[in-house]
Amino acid sequence: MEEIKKIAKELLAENKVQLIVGFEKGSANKVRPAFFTKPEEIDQLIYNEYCIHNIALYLKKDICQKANNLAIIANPNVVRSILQLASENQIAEEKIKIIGISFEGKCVGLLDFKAAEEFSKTQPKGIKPEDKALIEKIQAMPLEERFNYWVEAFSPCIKCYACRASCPMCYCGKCNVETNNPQWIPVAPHKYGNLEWHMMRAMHLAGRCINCGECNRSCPVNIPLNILSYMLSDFILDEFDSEAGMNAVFTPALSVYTSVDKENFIK
Amino acid sequence: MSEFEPKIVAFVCNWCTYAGADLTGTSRIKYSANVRIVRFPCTGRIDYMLLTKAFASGADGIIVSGCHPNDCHYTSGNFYARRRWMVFKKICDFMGIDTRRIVFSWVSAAEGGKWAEIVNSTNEEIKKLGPYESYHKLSTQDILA
Amino acid sequence: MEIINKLIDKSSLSALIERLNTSGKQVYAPVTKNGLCDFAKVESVQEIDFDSIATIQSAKSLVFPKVEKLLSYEKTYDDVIVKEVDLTKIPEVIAFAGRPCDAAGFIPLNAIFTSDSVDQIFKTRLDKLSIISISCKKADDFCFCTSVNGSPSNTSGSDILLTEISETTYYAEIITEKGKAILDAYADLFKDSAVVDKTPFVAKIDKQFSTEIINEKLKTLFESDIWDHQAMRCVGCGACAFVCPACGCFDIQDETKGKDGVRHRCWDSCGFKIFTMHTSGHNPREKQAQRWRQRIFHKFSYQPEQQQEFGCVGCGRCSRACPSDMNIAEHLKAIAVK
Repeated sequence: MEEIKKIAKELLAENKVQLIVGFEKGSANKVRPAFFTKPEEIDQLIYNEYCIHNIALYLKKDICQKANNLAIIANPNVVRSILQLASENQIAEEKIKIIGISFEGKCVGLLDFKAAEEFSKTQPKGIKPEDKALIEKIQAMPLEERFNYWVEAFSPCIKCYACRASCPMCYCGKCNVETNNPQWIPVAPHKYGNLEWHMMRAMHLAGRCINCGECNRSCPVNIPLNILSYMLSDFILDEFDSEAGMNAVFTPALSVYTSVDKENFIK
Repeated sequence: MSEFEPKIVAFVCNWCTYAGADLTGTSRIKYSANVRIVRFPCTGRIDYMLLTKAFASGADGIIVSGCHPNDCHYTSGNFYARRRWMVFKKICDFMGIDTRRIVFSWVSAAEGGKWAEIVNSTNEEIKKLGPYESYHKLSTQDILA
Repeated sequence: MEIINKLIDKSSLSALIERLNTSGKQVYAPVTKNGLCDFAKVESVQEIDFDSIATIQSAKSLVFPKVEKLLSYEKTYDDVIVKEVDLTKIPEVIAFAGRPCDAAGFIPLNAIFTSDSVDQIFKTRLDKLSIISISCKKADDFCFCTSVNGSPSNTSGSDILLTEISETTYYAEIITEKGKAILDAYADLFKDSAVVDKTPFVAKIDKQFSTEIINEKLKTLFESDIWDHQAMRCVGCGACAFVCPACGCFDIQDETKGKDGVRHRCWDSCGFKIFTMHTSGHNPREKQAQRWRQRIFHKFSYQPEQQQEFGCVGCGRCSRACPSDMNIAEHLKAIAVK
């Protein structure tokens, strides 16, 4: 914690960055994303076990886009998001300084992309045992039951799009769901509209999701959206040996191909 | 009640399967009339959501077909499509969408006979499975009274 | 109508819920499922969660559902047959065990839907809704009803307000004709009572600001940099608007299947970029800060000006639901001292 503050303060004091994205105390026992531009503001900066939001999200927002250079307090999920964004040409290495922090909360200092890649590989995956158990439980269901499980799971969805808004990889200027001439994905949050929306979103993140679980955390009605992406990430790793968020130079699994991809399902 | 006649939607590429289907016709090979063909420039252009839209619009079965690997008119469209289908099939399966109703195939412009076989076998399979009621119900329950 | 004071035993609530159900009314109450508390249809008192401070979502969906059919249509060869919604099919609903802020939320919502042209579907739903609220024994850090003219035992909006005055008894205030109809129907469950001072039995919530100050301050703050500052961490989702009891913005969507179709009304949020997007591509509220400003101005300036109601009841749901911890009370406090 003190180390993080020291690094952050120095970066601002020595004018190495204009902006630091981190956390401050939030309402009640929450923490919240915060933006620091002056060394004296760093006293407000905190880092504790609650700082699990994927603040890499803000890299594509106005505030970070306007800054010439910035630093970010980065847990492994944030580091992976940055690498993935970099691989999609959304952030340049010279613009960003990564203050890396392990899942245990240990500060590993400033990381360039090379070091970030190493760091990302040494850190455990974000998938929790209970998520794995849920995936297995769903996979064991008969077809119709699986279908009903998801229809019911999505039925509380109110289409607030918090999942999309808090996902660092959902940075499209115009989301597919806003394609309205004609309307492609139903706007109405009825069961059918919800199923299509979540399916479309999972497919768009396939091979790009870094499994931070922010979509699930931000969901006001707690839909286990993250396990859709987890399941696909697992599948993609198995099938294509491809994993998002590990390399700054990387092409997502669905944007490349090999001549030996499986085709035993094609007649 | 008369026998169930499945509605099958085929999404095919312009250069191979569509030409193949044309050949089926010009060769006077008889095949099931339950299929409705939608022509695309390339399998790489076939958005996976079109498949769910077809189910939502009343299809009981779907055929997606294009050029054999290495035969793509645009060199690699079918290679990208192949990966996408794998992932799409996986998520459909996970979400309980009946993947037995989605048939992927490679049919070249010279394979008029194969096209007839694909359509006929798909038709038989879907006849056994019956109408895709659960998806039809989901997609219409909030729209139709 | 003058408030009628009554008592009702806790043990009688189960009979009340059962008899309301058997009379054909639908009873909705806070139910906790999978760790989330929300309004759901209940048939017995055991299902109800009396302990939650506030449900995740407000009770507004009882009169303004997240998706609602406005009309259906059928295309014929040369015509379109439009079928209106059958208003007589709208059920009688009881919102039970909600909080005074839930009840208060229906007032600004009603103003939105009925102040100039009257939305018949909304009005019918509201007319057929009776609200039996329970005063708050506890509050959390997000509650601020006292700052927006409410209180933990506020009667406005409720038809009956229950306040727990002992382990076994609720003090019941019968506030409206609708409340009296319930009292008359189940008179055997209620006992007479004198006026009870509710203060010792309800949560204490400190007043942080007043709506008048906010309203006054906003007159000069339209161009202020406070919006940029406050909205910095806003991610631009619609969670705040959708859980809000007073947010009434909606989108109209036609959905068609073959020759048949429906016109749906579904929730929309001024926090979305596409909300104000013009066909030309121009967006008058391009930045998130402008959208956040709109949210505050609408609730504390435009609504009181046009409809004489503030659009916030201080339930704190938006702050609880916010993925980036935009705390509305804190932001309003900052506006009040600006």
